[in-house]
Amino acid sequence: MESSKTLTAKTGNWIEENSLTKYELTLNQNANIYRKLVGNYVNLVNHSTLPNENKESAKLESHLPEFKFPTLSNHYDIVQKKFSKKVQRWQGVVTKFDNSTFEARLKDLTNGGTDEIAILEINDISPEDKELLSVGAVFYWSAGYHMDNGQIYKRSDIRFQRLITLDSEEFESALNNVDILLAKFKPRDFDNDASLNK
Amino acid sequence: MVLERESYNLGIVLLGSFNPVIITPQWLFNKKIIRETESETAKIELIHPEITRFDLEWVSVQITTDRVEFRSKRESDIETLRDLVVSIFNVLKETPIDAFGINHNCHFSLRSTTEYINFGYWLSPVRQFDTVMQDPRLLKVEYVENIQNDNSKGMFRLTITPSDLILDHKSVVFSFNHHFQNTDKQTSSFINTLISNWSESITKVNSICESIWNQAKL
Repeated sequence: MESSKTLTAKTGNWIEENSLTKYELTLNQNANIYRKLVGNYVNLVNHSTLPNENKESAKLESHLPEFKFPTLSNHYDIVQKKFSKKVQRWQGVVTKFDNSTFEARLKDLTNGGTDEIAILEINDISPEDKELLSVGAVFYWSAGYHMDNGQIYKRSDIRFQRLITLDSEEFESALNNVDILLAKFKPRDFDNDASLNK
Repeated sequence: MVLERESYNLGIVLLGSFNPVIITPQWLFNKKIIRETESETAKIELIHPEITRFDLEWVSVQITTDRVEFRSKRESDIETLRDLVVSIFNVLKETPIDAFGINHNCHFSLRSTTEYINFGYWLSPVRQFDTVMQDPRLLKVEYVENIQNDNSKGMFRLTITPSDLILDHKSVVFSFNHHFQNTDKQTSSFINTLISNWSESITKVNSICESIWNQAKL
């Protein structure tokens, strides 16, 4: 697809189109990457320590591995037609739990509004997520319809958050920065502050 | 008239300098970013220093040396996708990132083919070509924001085309690219910008869709 440019009203200059964050690689670009991969492989064979008679007599194509390049589709699963529709999403925080249920405060991610309290079944949690169940744990709950190969079905998912944020070094550094900033605040004597007694 | 969205999915694209062989399903599990079964059942198409591509059940990942793309397969997993990207680049915190985009795809179905055609006529004065083209129709229209100085909120580009997901000849897809330049190329800046603009990006997409359907003459 050719890039387009847009005239700005203020300066009269053409602004450059954003490069590449909006489209995935075109089929041509994918093919170029694969040609380069194959080319690199052929170069390796040519510069390898194979005896010359082997290089000359052997057809290089026969040395190439049987390799089926994957087709990098530019689309979602269009042929299989997999997509979700009419989905309601919540973000929840666990407030308490027992052996069979857990209570959570839910924030509606689809429509906004006030938070809600819900009691959900422990059995609705995937086995590998159960180890993440604790008070304060964050999870995402979605409910809606899903299209899969022409069949519509209802689906409800609970998935606990797996988020890597600060490591211990960064956390300590952040705490140190707080201490440094706090030290800049001088204690104020409200009883003897003349400016307050005017 | 505001049409109900038929399908919505989201992708995140990053531009920078990457090593494709690092981010693999096994690596993601080792870092506790995904479940073990997800790493075991991942569909790996290729892992190579030039390009890596694999699918988990809920996300497609494609990495080249200068571009990374994560694409959710379901609307229910868009927050998980964000967490995945944040976690990866909190681990790979030395990765230089030049720019990134949040890409939203919203698919709508109109009620009839007539409305679908009229929507095209409303978007663009196609009928003025009636005398020189045979029954001209609109195939694609693209709008871009003109924000030059303030990059903190990013810049939207909207493309409207026939839907490639709902093939009933009366559906359209609004493809939004919310683009950000990462001027200092720091991973931490990218993460902060992504997190702070995430909700607003989704809200703005919804607002634009609602505005279009409220104004469209079908």
